[in-house]
Amino acid sequence: MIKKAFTKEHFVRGVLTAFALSSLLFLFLIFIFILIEGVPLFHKIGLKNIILGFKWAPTKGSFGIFPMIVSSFLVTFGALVIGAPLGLSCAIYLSEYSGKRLKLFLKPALELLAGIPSVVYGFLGVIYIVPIVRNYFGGPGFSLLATSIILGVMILPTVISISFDALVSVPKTYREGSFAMGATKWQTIYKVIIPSASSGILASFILGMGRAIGETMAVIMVAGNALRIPTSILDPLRTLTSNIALELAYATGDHRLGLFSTGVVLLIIIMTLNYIANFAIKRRVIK
Amino acid sequence: MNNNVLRTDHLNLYYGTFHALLDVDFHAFGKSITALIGPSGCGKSTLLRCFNRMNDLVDDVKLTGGIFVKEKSIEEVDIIELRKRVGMVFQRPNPFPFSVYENMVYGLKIHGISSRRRNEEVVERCLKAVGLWDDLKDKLSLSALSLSEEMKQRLCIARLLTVEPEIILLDEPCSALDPIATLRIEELMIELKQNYTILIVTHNMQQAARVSDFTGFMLLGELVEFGSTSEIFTSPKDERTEGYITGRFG
Repeated sequence: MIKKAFTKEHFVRGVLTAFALSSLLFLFLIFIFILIEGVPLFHKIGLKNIILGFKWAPTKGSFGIFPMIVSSFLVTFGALVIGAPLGLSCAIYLSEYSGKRLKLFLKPALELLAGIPSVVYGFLGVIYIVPIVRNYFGGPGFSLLATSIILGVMILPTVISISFDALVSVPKTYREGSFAMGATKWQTIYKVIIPSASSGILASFILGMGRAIGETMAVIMVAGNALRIPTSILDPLRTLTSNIALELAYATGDHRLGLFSTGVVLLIIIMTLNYIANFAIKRRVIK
Repeated sequence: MNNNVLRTDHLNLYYGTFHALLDVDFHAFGKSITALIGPSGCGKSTLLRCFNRMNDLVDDVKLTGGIFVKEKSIEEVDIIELRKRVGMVFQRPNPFPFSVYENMVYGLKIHGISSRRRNEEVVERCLKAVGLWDDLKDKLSLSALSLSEEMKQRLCIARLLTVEPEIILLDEPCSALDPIATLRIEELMIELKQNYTILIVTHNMQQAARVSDFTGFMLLGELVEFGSTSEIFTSPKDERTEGYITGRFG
């Protein structure tokens, strides 16, 4: 009897383990699949010609994705310029100033913001942001600026929730110690709480960057998708993700492989960002 | 010498509906150590925290009666100025997660009186005052979190001294320390009382007996008895005080 119960426990445990490991398996499969499809072209064309090449004409044998790499970093940086101060301020307000009732209202609102599909962001961008940029700043409107604004808003939930967690986990004793020396609330926040939470705040920025660099739909809709390195914030641009999404439908042969190579580069960038973010968070936990 | 540096007048304090301090008339004299003893939850920390308005940080606190620092109602003193004059050391050492040096100049920075030459002088003087200078003078860039608990607590006291308070409130400053470290912090307190007025809350009756000049015994929000330490410990007037110090409850 006891033995039977034991085997049943074993069975449940085994099934759950298999399910739990399946997510790992999927990750592994995606990784392998992209590498198998993407790496051969690096051999054929040359790593340098792809990563540092300026010309993307896949049907004519040019696979340079350098402008897209630069563009991806530019929109990510732009998103950070807009989203980081806004998100951090919001997190500080939520953790230090807002009353319980407002917090109860704001937190679900943020979760909702995170849940809005990216196509809706892109749509709003096309309808409102792009014309505003075109009318007030010039250029085609589909631009680095418009993309940065949309992405800046899209990374807000990530930045806010992770830096909020970092701020509220600063021990109460630090606050008391600071107040007890006659520090004002803002001095305490600025000189004690933010520095104490700095690694978590940094992690929130990096994860926000990861979100921005991976975003596709909204970017395609507002970025203009021109194949060159933008020379001003009003120029259109094409990111790595847009490149894949725009062309995969009709790509064949080497062209298709070229898109997978783009995917490999993207994967490496995102993995690096996640690694850095994890490192920042871990350092905080150990400390 | 018998000037009231700290005083309360019919002080009542409520946390929401909980009546935490009942009509407390308390006073503490300058350049001496006054201890507050009593069982957990008797209100001794609450009373201590009245003098630098740390209770303001708690929601839903109501106060009636008067609190005076140097015979001036604290209502009339700017809270920043008050907290600068009435420093506080906490139960758990709470150095900031920065270097020793950054901890030491924090007070100077927030009060806008930091300059390179002044900082060095103040850091040295205050670390000397708590007996940390010889250990730490070459390690000022060390993280304050890497120090031992005793050194952390000394550092917190030194950090406090940098803003030149007149009164130091100590809220069970030794409860996180081992007995030997406790004795050394007590020696430090006795040294400090030459220049500062010290009010200490302690669970440890022997500690009160060892370091303090005056003792107040609190029970359930009431200041049951107040007098010189020797009086309280040898001939308490109230039987509840006697019960507590002889270990019948608490």
